[in-house]
Amino acid sequence: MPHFASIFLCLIGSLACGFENSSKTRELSPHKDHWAFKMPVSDERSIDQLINSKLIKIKLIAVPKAPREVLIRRVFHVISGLLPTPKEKARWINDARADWLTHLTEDLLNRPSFGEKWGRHWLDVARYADTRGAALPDNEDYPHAFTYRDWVIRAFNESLPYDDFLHYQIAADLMDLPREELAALGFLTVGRAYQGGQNHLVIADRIDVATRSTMGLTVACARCHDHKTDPIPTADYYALYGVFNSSIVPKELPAIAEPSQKPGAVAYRSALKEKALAVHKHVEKYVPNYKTPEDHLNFNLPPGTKLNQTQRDKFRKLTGIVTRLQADSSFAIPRAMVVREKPKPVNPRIHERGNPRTQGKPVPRAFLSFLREKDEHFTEGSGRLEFAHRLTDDRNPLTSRVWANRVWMHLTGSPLVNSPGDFGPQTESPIQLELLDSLALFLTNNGWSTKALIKHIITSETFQRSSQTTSELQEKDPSNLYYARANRQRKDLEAWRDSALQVSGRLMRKMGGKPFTLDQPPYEGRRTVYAKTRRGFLPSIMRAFDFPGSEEALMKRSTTTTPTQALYLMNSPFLIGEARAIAKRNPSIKAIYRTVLQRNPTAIEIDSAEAWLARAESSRTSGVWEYGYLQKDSLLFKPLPHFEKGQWRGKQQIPDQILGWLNWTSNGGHPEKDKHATLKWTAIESGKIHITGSFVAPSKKGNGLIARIMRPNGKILGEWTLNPTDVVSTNLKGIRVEAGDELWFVADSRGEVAFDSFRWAPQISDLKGLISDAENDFSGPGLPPQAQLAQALLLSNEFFYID
Amino acid sequence: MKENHAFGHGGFISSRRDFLQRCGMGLGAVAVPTLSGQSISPLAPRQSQTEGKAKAVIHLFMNGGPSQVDTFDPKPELTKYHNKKIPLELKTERPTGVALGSPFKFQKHGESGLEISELFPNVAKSADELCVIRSMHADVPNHEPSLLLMNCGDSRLSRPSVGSWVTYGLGTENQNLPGFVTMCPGGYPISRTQNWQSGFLPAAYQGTYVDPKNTDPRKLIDHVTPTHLSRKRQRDQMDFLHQLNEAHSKKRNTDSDLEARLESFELAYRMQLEATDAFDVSLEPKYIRELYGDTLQGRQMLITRRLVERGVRFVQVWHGAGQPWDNHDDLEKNHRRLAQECDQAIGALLIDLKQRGMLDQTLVLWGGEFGRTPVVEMPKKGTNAGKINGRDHNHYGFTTWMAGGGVKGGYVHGATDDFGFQAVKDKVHVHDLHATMLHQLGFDHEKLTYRYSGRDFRLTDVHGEIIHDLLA
Repeated sequence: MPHFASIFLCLIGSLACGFENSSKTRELSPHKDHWAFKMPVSDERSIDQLINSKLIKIKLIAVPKAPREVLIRRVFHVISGLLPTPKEKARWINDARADWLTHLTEDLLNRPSFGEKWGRHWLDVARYADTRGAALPDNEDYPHAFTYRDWVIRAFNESLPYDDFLHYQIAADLMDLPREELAALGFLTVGRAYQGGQNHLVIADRIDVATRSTMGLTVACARCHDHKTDPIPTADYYALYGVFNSSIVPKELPAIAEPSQKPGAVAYRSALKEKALAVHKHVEKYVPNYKTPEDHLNFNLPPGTKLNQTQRDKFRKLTGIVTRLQADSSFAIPRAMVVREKPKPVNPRIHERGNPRTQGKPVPRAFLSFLREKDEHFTEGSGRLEFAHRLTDDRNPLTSRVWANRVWMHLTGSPLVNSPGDFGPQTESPIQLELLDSLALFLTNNGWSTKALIKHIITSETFQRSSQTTSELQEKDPSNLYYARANRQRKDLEAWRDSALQVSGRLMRKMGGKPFTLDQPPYEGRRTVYAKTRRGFLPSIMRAFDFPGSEEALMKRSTTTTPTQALYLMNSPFLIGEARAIAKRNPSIKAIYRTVLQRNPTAIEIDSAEAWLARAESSRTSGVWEYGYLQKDSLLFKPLPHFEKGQWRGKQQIPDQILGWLNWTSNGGHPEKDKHATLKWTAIESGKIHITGSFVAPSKKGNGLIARIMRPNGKILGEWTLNPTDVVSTNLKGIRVEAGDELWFVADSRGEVAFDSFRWAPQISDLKGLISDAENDFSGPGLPPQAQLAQALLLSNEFFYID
Repeated sequence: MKENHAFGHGGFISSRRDFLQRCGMGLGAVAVPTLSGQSISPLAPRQSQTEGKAKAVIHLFMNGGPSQVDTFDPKPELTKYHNKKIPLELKTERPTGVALGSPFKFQKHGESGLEISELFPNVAKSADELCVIRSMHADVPNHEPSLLLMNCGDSRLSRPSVGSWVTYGLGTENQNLPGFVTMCPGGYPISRTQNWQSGFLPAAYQGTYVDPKNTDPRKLIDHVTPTHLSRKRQRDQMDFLHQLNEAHSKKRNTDSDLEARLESFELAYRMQLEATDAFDVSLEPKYIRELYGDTLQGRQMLITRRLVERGVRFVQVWHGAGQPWDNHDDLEKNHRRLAQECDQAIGALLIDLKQRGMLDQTLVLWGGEFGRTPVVEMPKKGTNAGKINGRDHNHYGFTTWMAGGGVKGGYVHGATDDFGFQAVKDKVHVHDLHATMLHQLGFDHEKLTYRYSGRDFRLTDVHGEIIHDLLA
């Protein structure tokens, strides 16, 4: 039986904390000299001067600026996660202004796609998911999580200053704001849920996300013992525990929009009521004097209610149906996932060794001790708003640096501080400390404007460098710590999927709203940021492409390269669909190159693509297979109409009413009683051929099968009768065929269809060798050659990497 | 291999040959040495530092933590104390109470007389192959850190898994299959993909996850079967893609990321061909299938043998999703069920490896992330069902066993105290186990290192002693 108490929150995050089970107070060294605990030092020099002075010192020569078209693509990618359209590309290439890049940057920062790209960066940090987690699969939805996701995107687009961005997410309810802003509090509440409530783990999660993602401090490490390496005693953890434990998620989440008046909304509301009443009816059966509450969505059972396991499971299932309905319906009123202050704030006590049952000495609610005066405690209610302000006041050396580091990382591809979630004393002073400080100060001096900081970085020479390395740089600074060149960046899941949709013309620009399912047809064309994230149950596309698990705040995604990714790209119906769409729009080689890679193919490329496409056409020269059947006693070949799961068959779900279990796969199939499974091979050239292969009737039961090789005129070239478990060689030598002749490979059920799966994949050769191989040549309906080309380009490194 | 490689168009031959040389693959999967004598493909087979006894590893992971006193570490003294307080108090994750004697009978097996409980009658048939370590210990009584310690050598930080280190050190014999496969039926264990992560090692070394619950070999690996193109045509398409990527790389000097991605398509293409075959247990003769049993565990053990036979370097086999062996309640019922699920299959695997002459070169490791307490777990709301018939986690002492790969058979190493709570004699830490495993594969664990962020890292960090007593 799984249990979750064991999830020691010391582990939340990749924290450098030990496991000594002792809370003995020890002298915490002040760490006054740790670089990140001192206020950023102002430096008059520009980004480029700072970078270049270091380059000169270690005698490295920076590479030149990237060509303009490379820069355009790069800037589009880092700001919007999309590609420039050919028209946009042309416009910016031809822009004659000296400061064209500034204009381009501003233009992009003002597009909604900026919030979609940068909002996603933050959602990684906020461990955002649309469900509660693997522990609670029966009632897993957070039906309103999307309101937080949409708030984050809007906040970036509306240039909410970064300090307020944090304040809202931690304390919007205490700030007298319009009700839409309450959605910001999802930051605290979209974390994973724990079985049995486990409030102390929920709070640990909130403390972790609120401190690590903002200040790069692993405060949650101090839950069981004083922090091993940072000046964070257990008392600090419980000071914050008091803050977050003084807030609760209310029974009813506040609506942030009016109920929909659209037709359908009424039906939705009555369905919701019906499902909710079903829950109360269930409870009534077991709880004496239970009264259905006026608010029928209130499923809190009266205190002391006892249900046995079966009753509880049913209760959970029924409430799950209500939640699912809310989660799925577009008529559900969007609500903010808020917290509210408890009427009386909680005065925390230390939990000895992290165990909530062993309460230790009381501590006042307060900020981290090493960043405050001794007697400075929180005084207003829970102190949540005070905490939020202390993150960004002028005594906090961390928050601006931590954000500046990540902004730099999102733009250049590598952070200045390599552990973006840990700025504690374990983390050495970065090589580019002066630069980090100057960026942090730029941020605070410019009203915490993220957009201003982005523009500041993009317009630097450093950002604009080419990503071409030199052998000298390769040798002396392979990791590019000195930024003598730009980093080549690979598109993440969102960027490649969105840009594939963009080039296929299927990208939908609808923003916000309920999440869509990513891995199922019809493969909706919305941007990937709107895909449903099931915590603990990510679809294979997300798992394969480094998408975060949303269990905890993630500051920096890994970039792995695996055959699983390649298999997805080669064979997933999603990408194949995009390739088809591209080829359909304009099937010329030039057009496909221009659409996918946004450039004209070179003469050599056209030649080789032409040769390759010609081979695709001529791959039929050896003969061609078709998959179908013969009605008993007829000589009319009929093709199987549907292809599903590697099988030609009657319809999507078999048995089909008429065609039953009849099917062909790459190496065999199944006949029907009065219909013989028939593989048709058509010769394209005349000549003498040999047929080899074995027919296997693997089942022990049934009455066996007959294998037959024949011509369409009924002439039988070979016939073999098989009993159960028989294997026969169906070899024929020296068969004369004229171009266009057909040979039929027929599997006959012998009038009894049970247990008639068979294996048969004939091969045909001529004097020169193998010309057709049923197994190797097997395919579904096939991808037109031009779509094969489009797919190859979508798979290419040129499409996947940003120079 | 059936497909025709479509070479010979335009300037393609030379670039393709370049590619093959650089990546050291294809051409019969022989690594092509470069000037420096190093093969460049991250997965090309490599010599270990010394001649190792073992060439492959099979790690049978009983996730959740099987109880040692009910399986391989008999404790008559515990039975005597049943329902009484034992004179030893150790803190584990949950509150615990009196002694809980094992409900299972132990018997001596084989010439060695190795004592194994009634839970594993089929494994017991290979008793003389087993090298049982009864004195294992780890650091904490919690699943996540202990899983990471067992799998990655560090309970807190994101470090490469053992399988990643081994494939980093040795490459893999079959370039058409992943070098490191991890199977877990029905989903992931807890800590999920972290258990087979490559950490700071190149991603080529991370485990490839397969769900053996799927019976159709084509569904075992997502998207492993092309349905829109024939294989022949897809080969053609891959060749065209290489041509594109080659031209792209050429203009960009050397960039190992670009090359790695280019190579991932080759591997994926070949996986399509060979993976379905390797995973298709229906190709086995009937008597072999019957030996393993027509069960989920039978299938995954048989797949395991087929993989190792084909040259896969490291196969990790989990009992099931989540933490099946974590029996805080109803230990007797649950341990009986779990052992019944896997005993025949594991027994068959040992016999089958032996009869094929593969056991000598294959190191089999069986065990959990820790063991369980000899004392009963007390009721605790929200964490157990309060039945007072299960055992809590125990990292102070637990049992793992190895077989094959040059370890001593029919041998018991170390001991726990009279109750089976704490390792007391010849203690073996997880780091020591790792050091010993690497030793059997031909590596000095202190010298199999990788330079990352300015220092040389190794699987055993600054710990680990080779336990020579375990070696034949």
